Amino acid sequence: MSGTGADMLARIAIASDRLDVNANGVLTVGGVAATALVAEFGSPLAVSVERTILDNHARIARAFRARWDGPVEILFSFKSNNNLAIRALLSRAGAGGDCFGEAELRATLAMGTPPERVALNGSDKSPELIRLAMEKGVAINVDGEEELAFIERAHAETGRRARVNLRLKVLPAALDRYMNGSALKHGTGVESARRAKWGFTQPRSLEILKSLHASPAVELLGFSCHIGHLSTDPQAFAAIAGAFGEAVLSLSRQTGFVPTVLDIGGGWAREREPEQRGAEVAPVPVEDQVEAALAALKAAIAPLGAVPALWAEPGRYIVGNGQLLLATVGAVKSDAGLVWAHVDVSTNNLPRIETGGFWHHILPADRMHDPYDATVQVVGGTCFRSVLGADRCLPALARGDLVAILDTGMYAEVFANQFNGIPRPAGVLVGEEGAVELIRQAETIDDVFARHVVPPRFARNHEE
Amino acid sequence: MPKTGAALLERIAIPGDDLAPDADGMLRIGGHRADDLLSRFGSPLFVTVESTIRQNYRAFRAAFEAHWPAGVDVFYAIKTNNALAIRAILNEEGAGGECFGPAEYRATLESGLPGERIVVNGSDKSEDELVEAARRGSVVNIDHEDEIAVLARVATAERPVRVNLRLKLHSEAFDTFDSAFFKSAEKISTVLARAKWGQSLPAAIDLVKRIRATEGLRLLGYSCHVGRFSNLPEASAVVAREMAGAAEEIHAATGFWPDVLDLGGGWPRRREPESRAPDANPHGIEDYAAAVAAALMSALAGRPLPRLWLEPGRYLVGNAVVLFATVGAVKQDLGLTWVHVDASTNLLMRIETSRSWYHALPASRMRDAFSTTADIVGPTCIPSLLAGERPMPALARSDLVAILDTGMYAEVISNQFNGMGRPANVLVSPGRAEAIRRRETYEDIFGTHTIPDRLRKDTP
Repeated sequence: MSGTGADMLARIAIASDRLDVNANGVLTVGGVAATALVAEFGSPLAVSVERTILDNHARIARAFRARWDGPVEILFSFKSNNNLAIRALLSRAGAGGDCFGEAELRATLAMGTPPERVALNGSDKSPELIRLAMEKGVAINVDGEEELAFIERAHAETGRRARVNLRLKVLPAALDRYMNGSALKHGTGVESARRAKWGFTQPRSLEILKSLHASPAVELLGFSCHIGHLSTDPQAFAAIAGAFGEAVLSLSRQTGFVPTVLDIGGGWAREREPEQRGAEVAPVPVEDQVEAALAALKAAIAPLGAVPALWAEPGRYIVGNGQLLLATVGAVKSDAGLVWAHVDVSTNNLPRIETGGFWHHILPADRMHDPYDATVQVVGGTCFRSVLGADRCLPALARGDLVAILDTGMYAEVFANQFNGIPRPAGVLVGEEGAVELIRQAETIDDVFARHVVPPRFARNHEE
Repeated sequence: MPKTGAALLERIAIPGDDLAPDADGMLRIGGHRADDLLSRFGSPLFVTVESTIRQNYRAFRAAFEAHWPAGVDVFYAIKTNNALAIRAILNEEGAGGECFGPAEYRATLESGLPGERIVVNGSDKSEDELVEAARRGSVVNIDHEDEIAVLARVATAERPVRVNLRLKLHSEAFDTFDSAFFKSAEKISTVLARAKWGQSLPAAIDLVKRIRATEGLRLLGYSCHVGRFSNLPEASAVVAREMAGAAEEIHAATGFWPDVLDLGGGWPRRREPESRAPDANPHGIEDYAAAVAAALMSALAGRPLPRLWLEPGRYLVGNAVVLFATVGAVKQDLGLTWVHVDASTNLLMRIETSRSWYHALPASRMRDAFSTTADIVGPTCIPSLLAGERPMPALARSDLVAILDTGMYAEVISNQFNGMGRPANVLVSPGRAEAIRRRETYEDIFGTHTIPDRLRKDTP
């Protein structure tokens, strides 16, 4: 137990962070003091940093382009953070989009993403959604046997053809060792991927490919595959990409279809990764992951004799550290040899702590130069245990202090709930040169109950 | 093993349910056909049964009144399900209210419940909520020393503020029970000690003295809430016994004897998703009431008996809400069958957080023979496994599935992942189906987002 928040920040910083400490010991985010942000926009507050998001996007795009001989498209995975301003920012930076369902598709296109750079995923797409995707001209990653019938129906009615990749399921045994953290919920190792609803293995994939290839309603692009984040180990990505390449080659040989697109999905690991799945996390540069994956993919598809365009669907890598959560300390309780510091956010705002074992760094945002001389349970106030950080070394915190919870750009706001009737916080975007713009209004209690209706027969005109 | 949905339903039915298959195999709920409700209100749909709530409340109250001679007060834990219409029904039944925070407090008050019938919990109460609770005559379960000074400012001798002190119970007596529920390698006593709530004994003695020395505060007694971690009645008895023991020790140090023991909630249900298994809980609410009353009677022998306060949530509403969903893509590969429905774990997050286990019924084919084993899954970009490896009849697109026991900790912790709007909720009673929650739209999901003009302009 030694050092300060500033020391901790120096130790855990990654290249695209825009975090610093000012002379008053206050954390600055994109150059703006955390205290000033909360003073202007209220607490709690989700703070996104434009330069961090743009740098992450540029770096992962470079990592792929430097290692692939064909064209590369980066499709931002909207599910990881659906903030419209962030989507608009990434559209301007040239990012395509990965989306699921009508709401994500409409939002992605409305924020200026060119349809030709958008892929629609999902294991249960409705006929209406398929038709919408064809009208807009986005690529459909086909993941159900009925989807071709839906495509052909829409084609007959509109004359439009569907741009299609076929989603494959790969189950390389080498993945086994990376998947044990999810065993309780989804089974051990590769079994959990086998049990998941996505993708097709042969012979199913072969039958569907033949139908797609033969259909005049389909412009067949290629294949997609997405296992998601399992590990930071480059060999995990190599195992997936290699197995994907082998499946593609096999299908190509049996049908004569040569893909022009390979979509290798997302889950590219960050260097400060909250998702651990029970395993020790070794920070690995994204270039190493991409290098291993693309080497395996190239080797597997070399006999094709063609270089398809490569699509990747990163989410967390682009936005993970693009956002942090500022929260204010409330009651501090000492009892039974422990200290609990309540803050005004909870696991409502970070449900992956509960569902995915996420571990977030927490910094004493207004005491970054104070010595770490306490061990604190940082908790939310809700009627759940809401442990945001257990046994954390921090300065002694007092009511009114600020904490910063890092890496909340991924799978946080999109999973946030309103348990105990707690409205969800506002969000701001810190731009270049410290300009701060509101990108999400704070909810009110009225918002929480806005959809409730009490039948008039129960209505009581209750006054004191 | 049951061979049809109807047979399965017969086997798992509990008192208060109002579910029955029609001759054509369509499930009826509260007297209404599921297909009628979904065609009228859309899919997916939460369906709330009014009579179930009333029946559960009456059964709960009767069980404790039968075993405890010194009076029982019941406060509904609105955190479990905050539907305003449910709160209104419980007002008609006479239930008090248990709340956390300004939103739950406001919702409870606006339902028409007088402030005096409300108990306020929370380990980090704001000044504003404490002042509001005091002004309206609510009872505050004090959980932090800072609350005393805030309440003292608004309390007067004429209008005292009634308070209980929340105790932290973490005796080794808890360690005889299975700790699996807590998802922790630690002993239960350690898990309970490490939770943020309550005061352990030395701190509690100090606070009892301070509260009693504070003008305007009227200490009623003690509260505690360990929550459900076991279906064994003996677990509830341990809570009661530990509370009684704490009361004795504090009495020895301060001379204070409580008029109220608030034992909190978490009273287990017969068909309990948190059991993480299909098996019914063999214990009824009478068993818990009897175990608690016996433990208190023996621990408090010779003392004046306090009133019992209880804060049930799940017991009142657990089986009062059923989630109906419509089948979409049915996929077969690798010898497995996935049946997609239009609801997901977004709506049943306790599956993801606590491995809760829900019964699923083939609501439109209740009389078809089970012929396959299926995974019922939501469509979202996470596995969203609602019901794994379930015997089912062959299900096809547009069939209906019912997921039982979604009245507790479902809508209140639901989210909008993947931009999925949350469903409507309809209240059914004989001859009546009334919307009590409107379905969310695209605008509801993105309504709070704002896009700076500079990012909208010149988009490529």
